[in-house]
Amino acid sequence: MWLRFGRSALISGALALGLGATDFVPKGTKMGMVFQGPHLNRYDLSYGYSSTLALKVSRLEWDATSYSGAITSQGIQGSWVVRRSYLEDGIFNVYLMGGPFQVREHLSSQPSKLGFEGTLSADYETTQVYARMSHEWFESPLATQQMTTMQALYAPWESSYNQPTFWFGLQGQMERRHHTERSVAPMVRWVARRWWVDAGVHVSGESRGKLFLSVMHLF
Amino acid sequence: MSWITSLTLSSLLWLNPSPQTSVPSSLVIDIRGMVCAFCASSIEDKFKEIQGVQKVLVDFKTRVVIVGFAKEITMTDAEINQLILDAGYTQRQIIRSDESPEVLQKKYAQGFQTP
Repeated sequence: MWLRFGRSALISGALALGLGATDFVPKGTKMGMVFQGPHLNRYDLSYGYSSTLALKVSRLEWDATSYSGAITSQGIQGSWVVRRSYLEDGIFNVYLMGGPFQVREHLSSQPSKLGFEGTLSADYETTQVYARMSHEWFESPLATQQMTTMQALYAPWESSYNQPTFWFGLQGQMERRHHTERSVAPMVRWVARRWWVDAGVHVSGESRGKLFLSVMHLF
Repeated sequence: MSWITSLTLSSLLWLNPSPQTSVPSSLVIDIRGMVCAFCASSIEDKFKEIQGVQKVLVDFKTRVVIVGFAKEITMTDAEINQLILDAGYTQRQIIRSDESPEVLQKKYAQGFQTP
């Protein structure tokens, strides 16, 4: 039970922090992402297959803890644009993401386990306001959890394509596994054309004052 | 009599040839909801891949993209529409102009409605 609980906690933190920035890339473009958090590194490579479908391969590496050895996970996901509304001042999107994951514990003699991750996400963006809400499911023999994430950011200086823009805001999360846990993360976002950087401090009952950093590059 | 008329017309044409028509070499596109840097980067990249495109100017505040071609515009409206759709947007209006991108940028600095 404790082993399962520890792994679950690690995986939930990874999923929530790693997927919060962009859920989709346009057709024909590629995006690389590196995420570093208190317990893991995450690497994503996304490709825009069409105007409504993007594909992503991911690798996640969790540190060893007192509950388990280091864990590695690899998977592929599809990201579909379910709805896109063009508004006078911005854009509203709804995405559905999902795909299989292979999870393996390094020091364990057990073979890799297969899991599935799915996310329903909606975001609203103008040149000064960004809001996002998502609900994630992760199912595998090593961990089962659900997580709801909300982000709200504000750009004091209206974003411009030709100038880097700073966004400031909060990320709130509620995760459900063996119990329900809430956390909050003050965060800063810096966007400059092809670069997107998120940094924040993740605060919860299990992790206080832990920095996370996410860097994305479009190419 | 007819030869006099022909001679007169020929002389007039020789003295006052028809002015050379200016060729549109810039596009001004009003794009709905363009607020995402990654999506705008995609639009910029796609236009730069088009042969003859020299300059692409993007402005979030006005939702305007200006594309400058070296000579004549080689794209049809349908091709422009598809390029913008692939990037995740739709266009509201396309204007073809013979003015330079820099001039058009000033002209549309306050948005598409008030050029």
